[in-house]
Amino acid sequence: MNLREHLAGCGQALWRIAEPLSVVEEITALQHLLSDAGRYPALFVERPRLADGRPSAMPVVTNLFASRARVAALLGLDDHRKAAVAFARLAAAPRAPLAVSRVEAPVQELVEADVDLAALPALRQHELDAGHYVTAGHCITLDPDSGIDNVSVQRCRVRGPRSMSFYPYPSSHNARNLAKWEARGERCPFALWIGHHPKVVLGAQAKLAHPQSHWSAAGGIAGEAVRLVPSVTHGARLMVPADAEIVIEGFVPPGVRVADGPFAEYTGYVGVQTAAHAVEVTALTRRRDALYADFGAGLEDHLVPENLAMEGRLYGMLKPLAPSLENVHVPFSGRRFHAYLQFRDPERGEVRDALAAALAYRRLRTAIALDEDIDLFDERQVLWALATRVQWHRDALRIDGLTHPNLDPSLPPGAATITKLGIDATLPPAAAPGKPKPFVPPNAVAPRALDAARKVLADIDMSGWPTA
Amino acid sequence: MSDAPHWEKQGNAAWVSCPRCAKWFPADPRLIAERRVELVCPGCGQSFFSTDTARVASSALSNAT
Repeated sequence: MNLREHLAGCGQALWRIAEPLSVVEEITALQHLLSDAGRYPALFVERPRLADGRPSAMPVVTNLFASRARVAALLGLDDHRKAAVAFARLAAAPRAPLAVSRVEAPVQELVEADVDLAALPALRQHELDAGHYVTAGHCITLDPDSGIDNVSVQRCRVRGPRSMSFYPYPSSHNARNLAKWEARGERCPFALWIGHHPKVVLGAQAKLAHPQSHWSAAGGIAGEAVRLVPSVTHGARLMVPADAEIVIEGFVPPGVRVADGPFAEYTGYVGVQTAAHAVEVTALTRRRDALYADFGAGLEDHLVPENLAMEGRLYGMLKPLAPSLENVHVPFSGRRFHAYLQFRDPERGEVRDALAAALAYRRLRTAIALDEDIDLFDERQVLWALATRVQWHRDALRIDGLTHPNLDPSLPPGAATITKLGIDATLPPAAAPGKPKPFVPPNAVAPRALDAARKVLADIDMSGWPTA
Repeated sequence: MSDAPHWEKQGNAAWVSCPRCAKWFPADPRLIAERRVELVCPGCGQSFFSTDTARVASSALSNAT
């Protein structure tokens, strides 16, 4: 199971681009135009041009995750709207990773001790980005107490041939590990891997406790054990995926901070320049014909896999508290700040229990509870429910003093906590099961009338009529 | 933290101008106030501390210390 096997089966969903696009904004510009057009092929840039104009020996693969439908299909789903339940189910059925030797690990076909990170086709994606960023780097650190590893996609900027900045959000599990190493005055073993089968990438983003390794959850979601190999620098203490395309190894020294950012973030805004950790690179290992994988930051490609993992995590958290919960959606429009929760005939109190629990999830700012008649994936319907089923004095659940998503651009300066909002946009419950809810019904026309109208429209050319 | 009433919006980004190429870019007000870490210009790559050589524009900066 690897990236190239996946690409071989993509068919028309993969666009191979022979034009020599620059890694400086041009590949990302193409993703923006495709997003604007509502088209989401995976992109394979055969001959990317480096910043100095030289051709890169490595192709760039990006936009792999931009389509929810395609990502859901990886989970075996015919409908992306079922992703929350499926992700929760698969994450709860872990498969232990499989250790292999170095000769069995394609990612160690080439071991470069004389590393030059500038040779990687790392993209400078947007205006104001501080430099070339490894955006699809799955960063691994260790918890020094337990020795358990953690994997997370976090931004790293190429600072020099053997140097990167590394910005794990302050409340992330990698940041917790780094703080522990720093308290000991010791450097933290580090590795990041780039490029793998999308199912492994998706599984590695499962939201877990700390400390808890992601490999078993990744295997569960991928449906196959992830093959791991000892890293060249750290040995079996820090394992890396044997079937990845590229691994960068090194250490994060204690007490060292460097500037990182600006960087165009998942919020759709530029993240400010801030203090970040540094990585001293010791080795780069890769396949002989490695592919360089990238996420288009702030685009669907970046948000879809993470949001699907959030949907699974929220469903798994809330379902035991609220058995009437049917579905969860973390919409692209809200970045990672909004969640829509769908209920069918909830008991009194159940919706507010679920809203309160959902808001404890650091990344969320707002959770909205909706009935089963509202399509969570149609935001006109969500806003209609907000407009017609909510009285703010009754249905707004405001909780102060909760942890926040660090990159929220609206955070008050210096705020350690924020106020979050739960909104109960469900209808009042029926007096008894099977009885009508004490609420007016939505406007409707009879099915026979709709049939008659459809017949009238059947042969009409509507192309010249006004649109919205 | 600011003394302003909580309903008055305060920005949380400062804008810095590079002393070499004059490019403006957004930075964390705490990064500027603490002066522990050299800033890096995204335009020309110049490293510099947020001393008098850098121009800073932000109402958020007063809240960072």
